[in-house]
Amino acid sequence: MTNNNKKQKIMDFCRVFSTICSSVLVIFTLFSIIFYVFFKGSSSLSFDLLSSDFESQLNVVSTSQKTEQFSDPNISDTYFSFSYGISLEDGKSLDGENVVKVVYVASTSPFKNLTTSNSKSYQIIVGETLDVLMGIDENGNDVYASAKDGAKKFALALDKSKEVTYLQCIKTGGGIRGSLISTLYLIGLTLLFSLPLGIGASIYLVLYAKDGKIKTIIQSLIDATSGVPSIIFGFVGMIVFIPFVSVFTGVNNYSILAGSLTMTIILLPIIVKTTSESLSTVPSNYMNGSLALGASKTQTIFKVILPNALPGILSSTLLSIGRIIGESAALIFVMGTSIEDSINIFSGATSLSLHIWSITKSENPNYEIASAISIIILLLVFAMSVSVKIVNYRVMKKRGIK
Amino acid sequence: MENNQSIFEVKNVDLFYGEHQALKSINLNIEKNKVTAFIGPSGCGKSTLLRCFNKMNDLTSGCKVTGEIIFDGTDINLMNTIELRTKVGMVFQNPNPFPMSIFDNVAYGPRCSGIKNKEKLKEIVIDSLKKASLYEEVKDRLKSSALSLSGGQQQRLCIARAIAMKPEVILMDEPTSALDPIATLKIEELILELKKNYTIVIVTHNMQQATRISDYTAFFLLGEMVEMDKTSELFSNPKNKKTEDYITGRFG
Amino acid sequence: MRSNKDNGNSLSLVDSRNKNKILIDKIVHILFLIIGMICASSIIIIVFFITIKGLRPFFAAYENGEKGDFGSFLFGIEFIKGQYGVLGLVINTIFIVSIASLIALPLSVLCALFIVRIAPKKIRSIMEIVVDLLSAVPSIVFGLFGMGVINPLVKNIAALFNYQTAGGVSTLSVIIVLTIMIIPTITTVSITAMKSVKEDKVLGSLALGATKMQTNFNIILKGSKSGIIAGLILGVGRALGEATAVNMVCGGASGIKISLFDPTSTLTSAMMSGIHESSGLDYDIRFSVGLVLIIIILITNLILNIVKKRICKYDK
Repeated sequence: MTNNNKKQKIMDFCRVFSTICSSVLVIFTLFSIIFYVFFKGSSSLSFDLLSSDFESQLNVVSTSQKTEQFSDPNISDTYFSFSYGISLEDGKSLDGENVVKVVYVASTSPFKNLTTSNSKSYQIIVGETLDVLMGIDENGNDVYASAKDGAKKFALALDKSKEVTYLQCIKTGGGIRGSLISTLYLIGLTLLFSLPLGIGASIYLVLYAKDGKIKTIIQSLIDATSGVPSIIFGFVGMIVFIPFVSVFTGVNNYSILAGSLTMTIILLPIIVKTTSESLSTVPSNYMNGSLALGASKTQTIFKVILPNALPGILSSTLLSIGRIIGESAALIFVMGTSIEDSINIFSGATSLSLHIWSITKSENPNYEIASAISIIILLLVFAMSVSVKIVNYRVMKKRGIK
Repeated sequence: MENNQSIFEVKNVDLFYGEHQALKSINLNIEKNKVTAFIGPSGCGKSTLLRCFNKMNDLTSGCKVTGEIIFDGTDINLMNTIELRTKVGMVFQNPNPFPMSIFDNVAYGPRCSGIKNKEKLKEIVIDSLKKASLYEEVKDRLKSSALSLSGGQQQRLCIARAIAMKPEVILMDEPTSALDPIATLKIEELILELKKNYTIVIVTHNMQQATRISDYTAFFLLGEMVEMDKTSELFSNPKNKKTEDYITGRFG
Repeated sequence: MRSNKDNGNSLSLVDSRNKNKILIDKIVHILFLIIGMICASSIIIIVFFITIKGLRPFFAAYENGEKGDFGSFLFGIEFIKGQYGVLGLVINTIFIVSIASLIALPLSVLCALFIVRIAPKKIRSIMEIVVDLLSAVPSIVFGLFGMGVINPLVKNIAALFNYQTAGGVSTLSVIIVLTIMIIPTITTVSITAMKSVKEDKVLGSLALGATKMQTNFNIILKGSKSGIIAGLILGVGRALGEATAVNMVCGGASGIKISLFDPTSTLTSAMMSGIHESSGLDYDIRFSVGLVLIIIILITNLILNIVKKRICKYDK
């Protein structure tokens, strides 16, 4: 008997242990993902990353010294060129390379009034980086400096040059401003299409359709849509929505608009399901009460039923936004993978997820930037997921008190 | 019962839920500015008949009504449903104020029928709340949620909401069954007050309530109307054996 | 009081207003019906276009005289330009997804059991949040994690066996990534199923002298069988259809790949890779692969549902 008891205890321990191990493994997985992206990406995550263009802009300029000597603004860790009125600093580009960064330009500096090699007017602004400098000093000797030499040498070389014959100014690239904006466009457009359709369909299913064949068919067709893998939606978007959009634009190409139409059909089953659930929890005696007052069904739906289903609609909106931000497979085929800086809904662009895809598929995948974008995506998606929980919790609490 | 005073005439009404016949050839008249009570055991069809008066049975799928119900000289099937429902108000078993402010609840009906003038709405709301003897209790918090009221107040709010449509008839489907005795008493007082201006048809489980407030009483059993008479007459001197058994508490 | 009647003029106005209301009701009803139909039709559009486009390679003639051959498509092993055999992809896909689900299923069920029956209240809510968050992680992030962590890991493991991998892209990486991805799916559904097991069954078992743990494993697991299988169906569906993350770690080799440390390719990864550069038959054939993917998902669902019915025969 005691032997048996012992065996039982050991068995029980093994059982508990196995469940704990599985749970620890799940926690470990989530944390290693989070840890990885934060570890890799946090150093690259900066306001510059969010606000700058992806394409870097290179301009070649030439200028010459003025007679005037500028006064040093004495910014720490910078090197000042007295004859050009510009403060330089050692910095790192978004890709992690050493660069010389402009941190101050005097208002009367010659760099405020430049002509580029293709004779456009140009001025250097704070935040730009300078790369190669070639100039001529007072004695007619060549002066040369490059970003690799560091800011100090660069500033000295500038002071030496009576005339700058060749200077590369680079507006740094690698930023995700374009992808951020196109993600916002994508979210806006998709919600614009999918919410009315999804809410309309759930109103039909819950409040109009009588139990019967038509209701069952519509319901099961919408349910079936949710089982389709997103890559298939991408294919459909490619052969249905891109040609559809091209009817209006005349160009048969990727576009954010086609992307949002594709996302719309991906999201419909989610929105219909969530909204239907919340519509069916609205007490039916509201409907009766309103109709008995001589209100029409339309008035009842818009004045009484829908306001009560708002939390459900909010949840489905949040879920949708999370899904749009994370979606990649479907959008690769309809929005393309080339990262753009100027965003137009009728042409292709990358969402944040596609931006990651695009840079990881390039020759030298930049894991730092990809992880930095992943941090943004994870934060947004987690925020959506948590807010849905909060909305649901609040509704439950409210209903409970009632 | 003089015919010229009746506001509802029910002629040979049968009602089916699918196969099941819930009402069997009902004939009765409802008199103007009187309280008529429908009594009978659960499932006898009294609420079903009440819901025929403002065509609320339309909402139940598989429900079929035959026969004629005449309201103010017009067959209700020939009337516009919405118009009928504005003239025949209804109060339900469970208080069902909308989750809006007290003011908006009462103003809901008038707004739906197109009254937009704020002054006029306010006038209607205050007038209706006064008539439902609720105004004194809520005049300081018209903007607060209707759901914060007690059950009895909520039910009076529902009555006020019905009054706001200026109906001719108010149908009440067991309006006090979800309320405590004190709230019930208040509603009963209110019904006696409202009788002066409105015709009231009330379904009740409670025979004492019927004797207290109604002028006429109809007794229903298994989908048939067994007997209808002046309330005093029906309770003191029932003509039918079944009625007698029911009011003396032998069944039901 | 009866303003409608006092004022004869307004009566007809009210009348027409109410008629309008009923008309609007009818129009709105039809409008919502149409919206419902539009939503329902999206699946029809999907199936219709994928089928048309997917069958095209076997019937249409292409400009350069290419033509797909149905037999060699179905039974061919290699999927490379000019030679499109889908069988190798199908075998790889089924192999990978089966192993991933076999690993994920017990882990998810045990984890769900821990959350529902074993963990103290605080740990339970933390675990639920963890599972929620993990299921919210988008596949692109799983892909990145796969490239940045799992591939090097697999590379090192293979090195222990003196095996040279192609930077870690391999069948094993795909299996690991898919396992991680479907664990939250199965866990979430299992949690719901386990929560709905009636408490009186548990008490009944305890009353018969079973230990708490025996009860948890016997009664709870048995009681939530059908829910667990429903979760498995969802998980397998997700694994079969997952494209981005798989494509990022699979390497894209052609042929049947059973070795864990070699690059592989699946239906979805083949659909994804190179579609932007392809045209003609090379482009259309990917839709045929898509069609095969849909059919495989349908068949898997069907089989798992039959299994579910068999296993849960005696449940009510």
